[in-house]
Amino acid sequence: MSRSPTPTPDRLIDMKPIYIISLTMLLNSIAIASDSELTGEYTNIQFGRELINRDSFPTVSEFEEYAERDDISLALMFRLVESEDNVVNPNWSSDGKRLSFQKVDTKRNTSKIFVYDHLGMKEPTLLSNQRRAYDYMFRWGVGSPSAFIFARLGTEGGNVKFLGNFNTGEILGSDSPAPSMARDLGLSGNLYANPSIYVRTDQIARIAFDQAGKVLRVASRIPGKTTSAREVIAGQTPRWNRDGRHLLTIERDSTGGTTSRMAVADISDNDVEYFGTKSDHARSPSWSPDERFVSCYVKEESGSVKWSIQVVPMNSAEALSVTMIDDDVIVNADFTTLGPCWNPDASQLWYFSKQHRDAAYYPLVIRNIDSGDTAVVDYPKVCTSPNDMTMNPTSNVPEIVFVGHRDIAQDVFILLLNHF
Amino acid sequence: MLPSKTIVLGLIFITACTSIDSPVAGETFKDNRCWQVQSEQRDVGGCGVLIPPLATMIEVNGLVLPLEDVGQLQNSAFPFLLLPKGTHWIQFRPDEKPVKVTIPEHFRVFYDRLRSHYGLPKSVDEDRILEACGDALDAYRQPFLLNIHGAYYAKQKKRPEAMRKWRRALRLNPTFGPAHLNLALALLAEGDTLAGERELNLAELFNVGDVYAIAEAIWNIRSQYNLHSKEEKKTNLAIEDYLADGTLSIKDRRMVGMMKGISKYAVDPGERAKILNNLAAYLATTNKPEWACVFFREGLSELKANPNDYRRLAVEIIRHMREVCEESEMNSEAREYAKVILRLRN
Repeated sequence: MSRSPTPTPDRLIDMKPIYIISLTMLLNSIAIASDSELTGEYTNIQFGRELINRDSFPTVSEFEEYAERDDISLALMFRLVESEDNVVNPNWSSDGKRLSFQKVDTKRNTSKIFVYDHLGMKEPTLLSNQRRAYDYMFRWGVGSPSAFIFARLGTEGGNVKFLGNFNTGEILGSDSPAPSMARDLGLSGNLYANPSIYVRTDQIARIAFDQAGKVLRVASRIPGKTTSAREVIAGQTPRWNRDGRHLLTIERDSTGGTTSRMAVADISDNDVEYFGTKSDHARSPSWSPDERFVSCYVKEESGSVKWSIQVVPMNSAEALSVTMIDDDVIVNADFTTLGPCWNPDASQLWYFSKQHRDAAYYPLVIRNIDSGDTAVVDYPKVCTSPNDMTMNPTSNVPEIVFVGHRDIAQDVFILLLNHF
Repeated sequence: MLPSKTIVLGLIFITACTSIDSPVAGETFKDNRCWQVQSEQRDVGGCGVLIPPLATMIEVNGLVLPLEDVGQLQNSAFPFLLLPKGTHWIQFRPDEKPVKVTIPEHFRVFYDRLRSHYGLPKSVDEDRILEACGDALDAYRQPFLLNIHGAYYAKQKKRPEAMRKWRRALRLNPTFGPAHLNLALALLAEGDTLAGERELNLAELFNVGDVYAIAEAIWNIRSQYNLHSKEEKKTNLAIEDYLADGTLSIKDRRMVGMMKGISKYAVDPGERAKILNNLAAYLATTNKPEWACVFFREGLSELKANPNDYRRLAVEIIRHMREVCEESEMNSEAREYAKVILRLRN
């Protein structure tokens, strides 16, 4: 194929005989054909989403221009979710094909989980419409792209229970009062929080969570019973790695102090290693995609109350190995976020920063882990208070979801950049 | 051209299965039916097990398949291991337990009926294959029909076309032993012993319990080419090698990343197909016709759920694919697509 200013005669002959409507469309395409249009290229793509700061979908030539740029820059921005309620905590499945988020109605004090079972859906699926339930802390499974777990504050007294899909089948529709694939773990007691699920290849789900300052874990056969909870470590916010044996957590000072730091527990031998330096506040730990690093947000009471990102290589617990990103990083104060945002090859961390802001606008900030270099990437200045940034874990170019205010409520936006 | 020896060997595989059953009345042998067999739904004939994303090994009934880098299977569309009738214990990670899998029917019984439907072993009924191709908009989800289409070209002594079909089959499911075997034969006939032996090893290691009834054919080929290995070593599966265009440039990779990445958000399947068509059209300008066809087909796969609603668009995209094949001297494929277009228009 080559570039041509107009469709070839062969194409005209091919398209004419059958459909009158196709002739009309063809005449339209002739009218908008340009020197840069490829033979066989469709122009006037109807994307079906609200593009930001442009009227039409990019042509192949425009994509080529983006691809040829040396600097990392924006290709396309659009609004995925517009809502009257606040939307938080967007979350990719491990295969990058599904996206969940949480919608919070502060007036009614309800919270619901919505899922795009595939990203072409016009509207996402409401996971459960049980009226007064407060569903939150949604996490996709490690090891299974369709498994998930979330927490529910019930109507009958505030207990938290976990529901989830531990199978690998498709997520079901939204009409049922509770999704038929949801299983209640049936744990008794109060204040379970921050679940994380790992689905083994032998159909056993490992679930970790925290309760009253302790990280606990259970195993659940698919289908089958759930074991009783075992304590792993004093801490919170457990996160499974990809071998299902290691839990990254935030450990609380066991000597009665108030500081905290990252800890990795090996559940096979109860061995615990500590990473990074202690901080007054540490939260939202995350593994780098290659699991060579662990990271979390930290903040000191005594200082300027700014959030930083602490990054520590897994092969060393030395304090000297800690990389601190002191850029006054924006962290969602109200909800448990996924933690620092890594690119898929774990060479960069991405975040929003008050230090790099321009009035009410916050560009993307990229920190190269090896060199320490920082770069700033602009996108249309259409929303304020951006946060909860996460990156599609399988994409070959940065495909970023974040929430931000365009009007009063907080919406979900997608940014597609030209390269890493 | 394929030497006659290769054709004969090819027929060893083609005729190696068990006695051929007559097709079951009303049974269809198109993409959807084949997809059911390549699924874990036992009630519709599912004959194997999906290899999970975190698999680091494949152990069947206590024997580890000597495959290097099992994780690479996830780079294919449908990494699905076919198993013979009976109960098996499959383990995917060394520190986890084996899973019990019971297969109610022999895969090769279905496959014999499939081959019989398409005219084998005497010949291959290309019209029927192209009917299935049109029905699937050439966006197959299983390797069986591509393997048979490759056999058609082998019988026509068109080796490059046959190899392209078999490689395409293996990009869909790299565990499909018969396509490895056929590719091995073609490579050995070309004198590429190294690649041929690798394909032969892959045919053997995925032929669990002689699920494909190709063990004898593999043994015969090893004898003929003196390829009996003294020591068992792991075989590497390089799925990227199955595209003759080779690797993409940095710019091409960025184009694929952006355009494929954004295509999945388009709300209308037709618009998703158009974006992928545009990506394919771009790759065609960079002299990568096979890569272009990959994305033409990804676009077509978006239309498969509602083919009648998007018939005109599907015909256009297939015509674009035909033009790319013509310009790249993939004339047999261009001829196929011309016939498929005629069928879809009728």
